[in-house]
Amino acid sequence: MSSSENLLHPEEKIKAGPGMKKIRSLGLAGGALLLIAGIVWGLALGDGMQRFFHSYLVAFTYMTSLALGALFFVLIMHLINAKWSVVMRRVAEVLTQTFPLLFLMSMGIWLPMLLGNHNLYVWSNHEFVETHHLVHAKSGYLNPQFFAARICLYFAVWISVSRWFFKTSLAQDEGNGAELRAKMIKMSAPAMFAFAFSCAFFGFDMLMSIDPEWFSTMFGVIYFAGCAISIFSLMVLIPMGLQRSGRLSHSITVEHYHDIGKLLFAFVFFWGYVCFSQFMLIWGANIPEETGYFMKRWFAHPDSYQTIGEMGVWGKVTLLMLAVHFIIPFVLLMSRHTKRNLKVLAGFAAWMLLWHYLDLYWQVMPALNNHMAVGAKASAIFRMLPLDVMVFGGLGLLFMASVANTLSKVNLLAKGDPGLADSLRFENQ
Amino acid sequence: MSHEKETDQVEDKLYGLLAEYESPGALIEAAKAVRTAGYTKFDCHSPFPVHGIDPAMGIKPTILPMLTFGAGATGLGLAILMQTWMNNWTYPFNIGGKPLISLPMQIPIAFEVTVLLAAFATFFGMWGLNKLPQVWHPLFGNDRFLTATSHGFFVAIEADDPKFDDEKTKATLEAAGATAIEEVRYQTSKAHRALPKGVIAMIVVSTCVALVPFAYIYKKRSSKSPHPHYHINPNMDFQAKNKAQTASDIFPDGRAERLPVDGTVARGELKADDHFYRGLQAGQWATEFPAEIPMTQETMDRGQNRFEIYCSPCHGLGGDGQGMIAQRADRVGASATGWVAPSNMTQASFATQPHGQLFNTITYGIRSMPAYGPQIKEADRWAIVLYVRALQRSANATVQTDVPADKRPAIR
Ligand code: HEC
Repeated sequence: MSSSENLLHPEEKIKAGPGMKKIRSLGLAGGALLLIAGIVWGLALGDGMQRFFHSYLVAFTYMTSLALGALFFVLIMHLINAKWSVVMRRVAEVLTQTFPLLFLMSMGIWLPMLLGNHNLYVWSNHEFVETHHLVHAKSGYLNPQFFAARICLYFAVWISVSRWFFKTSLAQDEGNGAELRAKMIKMSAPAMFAFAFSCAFFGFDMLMSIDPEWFSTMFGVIYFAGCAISIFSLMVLIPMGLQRSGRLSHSITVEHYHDIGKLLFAFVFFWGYVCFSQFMLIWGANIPEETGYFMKRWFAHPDSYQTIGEMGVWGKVTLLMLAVHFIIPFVLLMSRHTKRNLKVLAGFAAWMLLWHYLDLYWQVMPALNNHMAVGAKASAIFRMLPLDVMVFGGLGLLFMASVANTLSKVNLLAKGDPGLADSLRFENQ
Repeated sequence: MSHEKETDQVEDKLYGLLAEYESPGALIEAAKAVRTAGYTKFDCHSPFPVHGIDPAMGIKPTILPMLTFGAGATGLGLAILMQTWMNNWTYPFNIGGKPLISLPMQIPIAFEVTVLLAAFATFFGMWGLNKLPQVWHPLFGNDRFLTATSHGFFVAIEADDPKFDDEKTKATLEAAGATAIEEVRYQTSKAHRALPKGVIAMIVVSTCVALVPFAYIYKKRSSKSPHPHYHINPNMDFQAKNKAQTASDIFPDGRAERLPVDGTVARGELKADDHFYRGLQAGQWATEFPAEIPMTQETMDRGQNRFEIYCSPCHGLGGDGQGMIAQRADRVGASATGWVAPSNMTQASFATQPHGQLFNTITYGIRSMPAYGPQIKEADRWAIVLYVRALQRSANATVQTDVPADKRPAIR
């Protein structure tokens, strides 16, 4: 077979330029600065870092969902032996190389807890556990030591799986493409199992346990839906950014974006589907230990029977989510014309990344109530603080620096994959 | 057969030209060439979908997505209308205290119907737009064309095309790289186009076979048998749950129904008000209506309505004991076997009973009369009492005592 390099357009650039290193240093400096500012702001609030930790959890689970989505992309494309996506696969592989950084970030959650700060998860607080039967019953699973061990385990799985796939894919660039592709396809099946369980349990542990008296078997899937939405958004934006800087300009075409757009559309609906399934069952059964979760996210005074009917700000946020995270993108992304118009598609990708943040914010912030006394709950309060922006910006820039770092070192395209020829001439009917 | 031959005009006609090409790439090039030459009635045939053939042939985007969208939207609207109509108007039924029109519970069905109609529109729309099923086509008679399902790539230009000209068209196809060009002729006989007998037989047989399971189920469900009934869905028919008034071995006392915990009262079930709930005032039968019951025309109408539903079958519409059940019992001579006739509640001994006693009779029944307390709410029972009072008064009325003076002349 002729060298696969010949398949690419003769003027195709598949190495990042010096700008990438600049992005890395800027991201590193800016991210560290913002994060420190956030920590200072959090300390200044004088609430034992409670608000800070909640904000940090939102930002951290957000960044992790990007990497998890990327891992999902890599695995699923191998699992189904997809060829069309080969030109984009390297970008996803690069994104998965952020897991070591994310592991460091995860320490921000479990380290303070092990050191005795109980201001994030109420179940880490011994006094709370003793007085709450349901939480007490779960304490065999929900305790700081086991929690930290589980998080380390998840990251161990993710780091090793994503490293292996990255290394093998890079080795393809040097030759032996067909054999390595077969190997990756084989590995993708067990890896997908590991991914499915670890991703769902990460969602249970990190986000669902913030309301420890409540549970939902659907929850892991909802977190996964968020991961999928964010990766398909990123797979529009990052390749477009690379193309703007003159990379990959001949390899990635509107056809590939169109397909990513279809997946984005599908997962927008999937997100609505699973969120609604969770809500409907709870709404229908109407059992107090389940409805509490939604009461906090709807009513102005969730713990007072007198004023139960009054919708609070969180209720409005809930309705806003329904509109911006589901109905609007669902209706507008349905047409093939919007998906093939790259400006519009990029707009929706950015839009979804924005509201993905609100989605996680909506899951985490009302749980601040759990730390308050009955009757004094202020769940009506939906207040974005500069702190939220700093923490999110800090982690986000650090994440970006890590991505830029990897991008600057490798080929931007899996040029050795035998699926490349099909991917390059891929067309939607 | 012979008769058919006489009427069926057999004519040999030219369908068009069929050209074979080497590869999908060549097919696309040929399609472009034919199109640029100005032909409109032509088609390409290949064993698998060829990427890029649509633009090469100049085929416009299909309207199928529009059909799908329209049908989906229709399904969504219909499903919501249907459920609103059923739940709110034709069969209002309180489920778990949810509103009759409750959107969350409608969504699963709305979703299903949306998908169903959209899928139908896509599937049948595709058939319709492609004019399927097509059991006969002039090209089917061509031997070379048979390879179109395995490895042949073809362009066929119809003789009906305004630009069609045997020689010129042949030249165009050849110039585009055809490996072979043939004229396709066909016979215009009807018999030729008929569905082959084998296919008809297959349709009939498969339809019959498809009906067998239904026939089997129908027979099992409608015929008598010494064996237990046939259950299509046993885990729905025999659910692992406790039904009212049944035994259960979960609890030591063996009841499935549970009594309230000692010393507790369910929310809203305290019923401390003796007057309203038991018809007692200071331990005596109440002689007044409780304050909760407004003495209005509405209460009276409600009482009449409930009376006609619950009491009139036995006591009759006028309360005189001549209801349908009583009449029939008389006709069949039931009194000989110990039948107790419903009382004539308009007679004086009942008309003088205190309101509370009447209320109590409805609640608990009396001697042969069953209790209606479990079925009729307190406020409705009081409304019935009010209506019974009106019946009693009207049955024992006199012009002097009961008709206002100014109305008396009208009665004459
Ligand atoms: C199933 C038939 C039936 C229905 C329905 C019925 N009753 Fe009776 N009712 C009887 C019979 C039979 C008696 C006579 C019982 C006896 O003497 O043993 C009776 C007796 C009475 C009496 C006389 C009680 C007394 O003090 O002796 C009253 C008053 C009465 N019914 C009112 C009502 C009212 C009001 C309703 C509607 C809520 C009603 N009944 C529905 C069968 C019926």
